[in-house]
Amino acid sequence: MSAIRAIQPVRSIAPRRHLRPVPATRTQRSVVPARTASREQARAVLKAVSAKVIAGGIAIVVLNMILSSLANASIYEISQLKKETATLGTQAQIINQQVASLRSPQNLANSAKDLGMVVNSNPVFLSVKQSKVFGAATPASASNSGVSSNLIANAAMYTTSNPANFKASEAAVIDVPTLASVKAEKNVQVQVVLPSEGIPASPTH
Amino acid sequence: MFNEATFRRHQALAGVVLLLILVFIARLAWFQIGAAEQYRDEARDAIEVTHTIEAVRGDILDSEGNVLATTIFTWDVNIDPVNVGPVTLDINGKQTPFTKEEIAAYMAGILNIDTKDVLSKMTGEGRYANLKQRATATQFTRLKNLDIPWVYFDRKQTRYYPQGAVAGNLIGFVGTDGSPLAGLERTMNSCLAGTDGKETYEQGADLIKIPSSIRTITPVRDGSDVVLSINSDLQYAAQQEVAATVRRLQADWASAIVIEVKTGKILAAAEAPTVDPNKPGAVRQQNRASRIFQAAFEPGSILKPVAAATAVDTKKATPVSQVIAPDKLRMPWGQYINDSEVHAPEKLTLTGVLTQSSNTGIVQLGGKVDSATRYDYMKKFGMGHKTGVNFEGESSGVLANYTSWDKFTDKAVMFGQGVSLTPIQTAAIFQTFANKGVRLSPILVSGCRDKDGNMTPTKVEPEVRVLSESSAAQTVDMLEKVVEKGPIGRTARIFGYRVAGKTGTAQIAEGKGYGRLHAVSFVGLAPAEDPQYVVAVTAYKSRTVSNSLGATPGFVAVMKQVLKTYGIPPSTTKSKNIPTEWK
Repeated sequence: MSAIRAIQPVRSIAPRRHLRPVPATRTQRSVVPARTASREQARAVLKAVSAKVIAGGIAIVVLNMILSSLANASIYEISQLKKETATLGTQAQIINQQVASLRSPQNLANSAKDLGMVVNSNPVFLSVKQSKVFGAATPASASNSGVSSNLIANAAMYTTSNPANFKASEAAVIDVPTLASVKAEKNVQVQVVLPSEGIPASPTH
Repeated sequence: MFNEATFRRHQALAGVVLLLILVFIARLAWFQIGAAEQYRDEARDAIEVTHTIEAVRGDILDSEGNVLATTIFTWDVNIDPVNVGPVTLDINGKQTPFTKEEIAAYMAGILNIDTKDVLSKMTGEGRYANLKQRATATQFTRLKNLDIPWVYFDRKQTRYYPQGAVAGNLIGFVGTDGSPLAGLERTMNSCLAGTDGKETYEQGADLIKIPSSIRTITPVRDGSDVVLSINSDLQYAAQQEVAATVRRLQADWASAIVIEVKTGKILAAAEAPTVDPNKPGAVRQQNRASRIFQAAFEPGSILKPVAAATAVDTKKATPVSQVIAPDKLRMPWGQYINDSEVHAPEKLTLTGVLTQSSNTGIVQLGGKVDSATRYDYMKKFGMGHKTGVNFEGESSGVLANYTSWDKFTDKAVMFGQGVSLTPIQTAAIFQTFANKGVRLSPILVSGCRDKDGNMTPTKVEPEVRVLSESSAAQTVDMLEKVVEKGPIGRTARIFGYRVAGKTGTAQIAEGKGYGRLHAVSFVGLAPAEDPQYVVAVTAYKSRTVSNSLGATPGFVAVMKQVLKTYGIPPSTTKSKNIPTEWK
């Protein structure tokens, strides 16, 4: 038996390999520390988030306060600017009316007449092409002129180029005897001044 | 046992509390959800303001863009009498007290009213007294700057006509409340008037508008501008002339029309007396409208060219057709047709008939055309119909059907009696001669232009071919002879230019016959070789000059102004040699 045993080939018997289940403990080992870690992390996250939320909330409230105070300030600014626009609009209207009065044909006709001008009822035409003069050039004079005085009514002519033509009613507004100081201080200063070589102009209304 | 009883009591109490909580929740839900709308509205109403945004009325502009009518603001000055008292004003940085009497005197001075009136309005327990309506911007600014707590202002839109009575007859005017009462202000109202807007907003306790709360309910749309064909400089010059004409002739009224031949545009339609729309009450009612469109009267000899052109166009006569024209022509039925002067029989051509303005001549030559045809031509010339302008209250004149003409009228229409025309209709007839026989519908309003600059042109009636080109040219040639050779026509000459035209001295119907005074007129065109402009001048009931010598100076002045304004070069050709007499 022993010989048999002796001649029996010697071979190393490797231990048989078995599939074995992964020890449960290993799993437990790996899970248990993770759980502990995640709780800590969650707490940290929660802390961070809530800190941010609170900070955000405070920021929003502060921002809101800032914005609303800015907005409120703007409301008053807008209101103020609108008032200024209205005032400037009124001034623009006064000036526009003065310009319209000064450029009205009635004022121009009167001014021209005051300067001694008359309508030339005898215009002479020149033809450059033909090198010819059509008509007899005679000096315009009051006797041979057309209609020189203005005959067309204009109740809206508040301002004229000639101060002598100021309307009595409008002139009365300029000279207010009892509260002259109030007038001087509070009047809107609107001056219409033409170039010095032009027709003398003065503000009125 | 004890525990159980306590428990039950607790249970009952809890039930009641729960029930109450439920009731409160329900009630809260009702406020928050069920009736939320209503309460929100109530809350909003308490602080929300609805505001009408007034649309600004459009302007009326001339062809060059000059403003003839616009909208400005004026202010009603009101006070709150119950709060009237002394005020302290800041004068040069110093607080200065003023009595209410001092303030009243100052306000009266600014507003140009009586101090006593101001003081009487200041007294009383009322909350409102109007010191002045429509104060000017200057007056408003002066008062506003004082900042008196018991003075307040209402801003109003006001119409403003910077050129006064220039084109006042056409523009018309508005009432103190801004409602359009006459002229283009009324007829073009749909263009001029805008649509008021509406917005709501929330208002703080200090009456400040909260911007985020503004809600537009209806957007405001400002009015559009009316653009006229009128040239206001020319209109002014023409008005000056007609005003001078009225003075010189002591006439009831005078008018001058300028029409651009090739477009039919009315460049000037001047009248005197006329209205200043800033102050319509300053003239009598009959002078506040436009006689150019509204007054129809028998035009007289100015219509002879119509009979002549009809005869030429129907080939019944030519400019050289001959006739013997006596001063009195006996009609077959016994009536006489007379010339204005006693004269020996004249051997005239058709051209000579116009030059001498012979009634007896035109009746013979024009009468070669049958009544029905003559009536057709008169209709084609626009008689008896309103022009395409369709001015407010425009007259169509009177052109009775030829079937109702009596024997005399059948002849009289050839020298402008038995038919009535407005000055614009007469001007349109000469525009037809000048425009190669094509009558254009006159244009007064070019169109309606919105604030974005989009122009809606006025609808124009189609043109009418009245005469052949050749007949129209022959008519103009004949009319040129009137200015060259006519005893009165000659006074319408303009040196350097070929002018064609016709005089008219019309009797004015009064009762069953004719009155002592005349409507004198001259209608002409220039330059005759290529007519560009028609000028028609009429003076009604002239008291110093009883023939068209009263009208030709006005014609010459206005035509010269037109030729200067539009830079028309002098004529370089001569008129055709057409005999006016024969042997």
